Amino acid sequence: MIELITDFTRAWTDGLVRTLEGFRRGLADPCILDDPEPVTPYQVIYEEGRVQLRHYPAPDRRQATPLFLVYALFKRPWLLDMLPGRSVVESLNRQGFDVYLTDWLPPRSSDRWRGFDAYVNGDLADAVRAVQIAEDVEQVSVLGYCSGGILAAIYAALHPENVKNLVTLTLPFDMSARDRPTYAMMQHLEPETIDLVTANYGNCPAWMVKAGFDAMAPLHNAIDKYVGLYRNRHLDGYAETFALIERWMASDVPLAGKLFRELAIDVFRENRLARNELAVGGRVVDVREIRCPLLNVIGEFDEVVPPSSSLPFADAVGSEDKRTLTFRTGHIGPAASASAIRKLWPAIGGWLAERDS
Amino acid sequence: MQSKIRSFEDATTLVRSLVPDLKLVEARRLLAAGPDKAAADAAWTAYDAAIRLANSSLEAVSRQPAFGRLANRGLASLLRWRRVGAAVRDASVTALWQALNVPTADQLQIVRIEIEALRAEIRKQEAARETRRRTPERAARRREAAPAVAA
Repeated sequence: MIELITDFTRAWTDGLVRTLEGFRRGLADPCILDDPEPVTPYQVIYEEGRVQLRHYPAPDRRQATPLFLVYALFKRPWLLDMLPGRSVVESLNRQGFDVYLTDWLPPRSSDRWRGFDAYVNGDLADAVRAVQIAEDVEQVSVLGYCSGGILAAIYAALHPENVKNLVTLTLPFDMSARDRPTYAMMQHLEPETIDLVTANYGNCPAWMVKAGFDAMAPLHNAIDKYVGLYRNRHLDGYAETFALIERWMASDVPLAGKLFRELAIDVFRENRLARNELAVGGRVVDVREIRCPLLNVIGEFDEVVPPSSSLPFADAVGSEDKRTLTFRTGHIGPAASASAIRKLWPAIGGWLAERDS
Repeated sequence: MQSKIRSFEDATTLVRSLVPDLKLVEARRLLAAGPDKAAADAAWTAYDAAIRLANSSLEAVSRQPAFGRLANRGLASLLRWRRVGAAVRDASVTALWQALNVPTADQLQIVRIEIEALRAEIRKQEAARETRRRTPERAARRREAAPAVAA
């Protein structure tokens, strides 16, 4: 019992320090990054606006179409390349894919004007074009993770000619699914409150983003995960992985003011993406324009994006070749769990390889 | 309905773990027949049920429209008062700064933006020079065909 109390206290205070350090980094302008050393070597081949494009060349390339990963805007992308033998990028490289990954640079106070138009029609479109030029290809396969999936879906709907295959991973799509408290609460977030956030801070501060994520599972974040660490301390590598995931959990970055407004009001509250009514850069995003092959990957126990929110995407697009793949994992499991590296990513790679020619 | 059934199951597990199981463990311990592991298992079963029960209760509360409205109103009030505080602080500090002839945050921000723009311009020129040096002729032809892309 004494051991439990001392271990729990130590882990809890470590967690508190990590949270406060993340809080301090997020308050700086520009936000200070604290990324660990990369597992897989890469080159930055393009940087403009608020995106830096990383290239992870495959040692033994077997797939002609480059794979373009659109990471989420909320946290840092090193989750996809976290540990040797447990890295998504490494797994895709091993399967013969040349991988390109967006590293969204945190917005500065002068970037508050940036919304979906700047991120999708600007940064993302230019980064895809940089790949097209570098690889001398007409199309790329696009994979979007979480909110990166929203960007990928919008891009694929507005620029379908550039997308050969689309993979969405834990995509928050249909926000009428109210089976998560956070989704239910977002319904009551008034536009006036959003305006007050941007009037106060310009962008949505990193601490507010973190508070939103923590509120999804308050007891887990305050107590249960530390108890879990104590109970699993005998498992080989558990403590090290726990520490890395905790570090990633504290890697929140601010959200550009306009994008925050569009996400909170247009996408979450008014569900415009699912209703084909979201306006981006003067055009309406109609996901029925997505006609390329689609693989929609869902975490069965996803505690952040409920499966009921991702599932309708496959029915909404105009693709004939589409598949929904449900994997028994939570929200970060697809990127961080050993079983995902063993089973899920080879399945995704296999699906893409079949459509490579 | 399913969540209600689950909550009921958790509540009964919790009660059963805390009352009969622990009593049984205590009795075994007294008889020197039950090791500590049994007590630990019973305690963890109770803990898991308690956490699940607390989670479902919290979820039920936060799903209530009244809770959502209250949270929204609380956040809005906080932000409104923060804005008032910031305005008061900025007004007084700006007056003081001007009296001391020290640049304000806004002036520093303008300089910072200008420096950033200059840095971006340098990066762009360096990248263009590097691309010209490295890229084979074919890519150069493509770039000429789409000049806006080259950046």
